[in-house]
Order: sequence, then structure tokens, then C-alpha cells
Amino acid sequence: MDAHVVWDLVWTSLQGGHYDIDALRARVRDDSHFIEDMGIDSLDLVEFYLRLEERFNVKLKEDDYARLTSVQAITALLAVKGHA
Amino acid sequence: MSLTASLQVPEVEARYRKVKKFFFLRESAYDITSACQLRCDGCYYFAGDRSKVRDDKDPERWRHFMKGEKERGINYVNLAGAEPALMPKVLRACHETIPLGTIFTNGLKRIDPGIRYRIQVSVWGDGTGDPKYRKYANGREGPYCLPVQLENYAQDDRVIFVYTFNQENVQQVDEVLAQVSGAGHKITFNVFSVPEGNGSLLKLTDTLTATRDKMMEAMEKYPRTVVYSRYNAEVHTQAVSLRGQFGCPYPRAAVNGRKEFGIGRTFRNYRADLSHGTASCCVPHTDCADCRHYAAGSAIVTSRLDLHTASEGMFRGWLDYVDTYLAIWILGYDKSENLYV
Repeated sequence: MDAHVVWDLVWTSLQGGHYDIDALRARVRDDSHFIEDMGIDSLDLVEFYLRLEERFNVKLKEDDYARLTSVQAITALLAVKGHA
Repeated sequence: MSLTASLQVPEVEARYRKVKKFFFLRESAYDITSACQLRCDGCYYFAGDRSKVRDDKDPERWRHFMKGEKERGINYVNLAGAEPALMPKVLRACHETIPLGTIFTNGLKRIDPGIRYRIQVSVWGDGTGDPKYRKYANGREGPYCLPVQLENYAQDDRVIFVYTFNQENVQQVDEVLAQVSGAGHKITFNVFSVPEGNGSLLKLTDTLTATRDKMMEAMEKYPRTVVYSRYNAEVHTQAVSLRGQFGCPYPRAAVNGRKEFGIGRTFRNYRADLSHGTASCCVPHTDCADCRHYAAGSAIVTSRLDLHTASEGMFRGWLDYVDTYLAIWILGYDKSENLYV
């Protein structure tokens, strides 16, 4: 799984919000925590998870929201689900 | 249908862009004082032990405390219980530290015009119902609050009236609507939600449908006065409570991943002595199985974007709900035409 695909979904989900996307892009890593390191708000994260579900045809549960807190965690999950 | 498919519709996409700018709000709730002139039937504040604290009345301690809240990431304050208007210096200290917020008041005392928070003024009925449901603290029949409220807040753009429907007062809203509209103010709706262990006769039992019909009628008759939507009316008058329909993200009721996500992670409800418990809720002591409270819905429904993308219609309903919520809570935010019909 190429993390760039997931990052593209992150940036798309943050558009129109209050973020300085260029500044975020410059400093994030794959293990950056969406909330603690990037300050992403919960509804923007929900939008991101919905886009992720659509893009990879996976179904996330509410429990997953608290675990899928970085691109690294998501690529690991997608790999398990066959999106290697 | 999916989120991205719904966003292909221009009016839907435009509304989503409008509300998305406010996803940054991170709120908590604060009891400003344990004093109030009134004792309303089913009052959440006096239902439990929240009033049994020693008020912190020092504005400078509140200012320092609010600075801590700001550092914690809170950028929106809900100033409530019992009657915050009785503590003007504390309100000013809060406003000077965190400038976005709402004050929940009975409207009997005017709040300093320099405090540019949203002001939500509660209305419980017409001239017959309001004094009956809201007694003075000494047990005497209460005042009819609306005329006093309208006088205190004439021409005041901070104010939105909140009419709480209960089992008895569905028709009483007609008089209130006429007066609020005549004064050029806005009004929105709440649905009485009984506190735990409280046997209030105001709990809606067989009037949910009549309440919904009256809400619809009011929106049609007073489109410039009533801040509400068809979807709001539908979800707040279901036989099943808000939590039953959508779950609840507040720390008190959140389950599984929701405790570490969104409002479940940051929301606190502070008492007037600045302490807080671990199981915070926007309306403490409300029976979750009967919760149709408008403030609870503002977090419960808005947080469930994921439950509203199966169809464009559902997404439109959610957008109307969020647009309504922002118009009630954010001073200066204008509600758009409803999208969900």
C-alpha cells in the first residue's frame, strides 16, 4: 500500500477547513497522530474515514475511529484487508 | 449513494462548505453559579447535587481557569446553571478569555451588552403555562417571563429564544411565536427531557406527533422567526430518544471508540466551584432514554455524519441540522434555506 494514496485522502478531507495544509504537509510523517500531532477535528476525520471507505471499499466500525489515528495505522489495516 | 456522490450536487456541496468552516469548534460547559431566581419543573441543574457546591465568585480565578481551558483546546464555552446573568463579572472574565460561546438564561436580568456571546433565553409557555412551570425559588407561582425578556433584550442581536415543548404546552407556543415575531427576534425549539428519577408530568407521552406538527406549522407560518428544520423536528419527536437513534458522543454515555474521539475526548461539564466529574454530559441528570434535548442534539446529531451519507436526502437532513445548530449557537451566523423536504 502506497501511503501517498491515503495522504491524498487526508488532504482532500481537510480542504475548506481551518488548516494550513502546506505547513502540515511539510512536517507530518506516516506515524503522525491525526488529532494530537496534526490537530484534525473529529468531523473532518469522519469525512476522511468515509472517503477511505469509498476509495478502498472497506467498512469501518465506530471502534476503528479511535485506533486508526495515523496513516501508518491505516496502511497496516488496509494491508490486512488485502490492499497491499 | 455516498458522501462524494452527494457532494456532486452543487447546492449540497455549497452547504457542506458553509458548515465545514465551523468544524473547529471544541466546547465545554460551565456552571457559573448555583443561584437562580426560579425553580423550573424538571430543571437539570437542581435535579442532582450540582447545586451543592460553594460557588467560586472570583472573576480573576475564572479568568485564570478559562486560560487553562483555552490551553486545553477549548474554543467555545457554554455558560449555564443555575442563572449565569447573576454573575456579570465572571461572564466578562470568561468572554475576555474565550470569546466564542453561549449563555443560557431565563432572561429576567439583562446581560451586559459588551459580552458578545450568543444568549439563549428560555421560554416555557404562554401567560398561563410559564408561571405554572417555573416557580420562584420560594415556591410561589413564577412570573410570566416573556414580557420581561422582550423588554430586557429589545433590539438585541445576541438573543435567540428557546421554547421548550412539554406534554401540556403545545398550543401555547402560538402566543409566544406571535410576540417573539412581533419583536423581531428569533426562536428555536427544545423538547422537554425528563431528569433521572424525576416524575415530572411535563414529560411528553402522547404529544410527540402533535409537537412535531406544531413545529412544522410554526416554520411555515413564521419562516423568518423560527430557526429550525424539518429534520430537526423529525429526530426530536421520535418515540426513540436521540441516544437511541444515534448513540451519544458525550463522555457520560459514549461507548467504545467514541470516548477517545471528538467531544468524548475533550468535553467537560464544570460545576460552579470549577470542579468536574469524569462522566460529563451537556444536560447532566437527563434520563438518556428520554433525551430529546436540543443542546444534546447539537452534538449527538451533528457528530454522526457517518450515519447520514446513505442517501442524498439523509445528507440534506444532516446539513439542515448542522446549519440550524450553528445559527442557534454562533452569533452572526445566518441560517440558509432548508435543503431537506
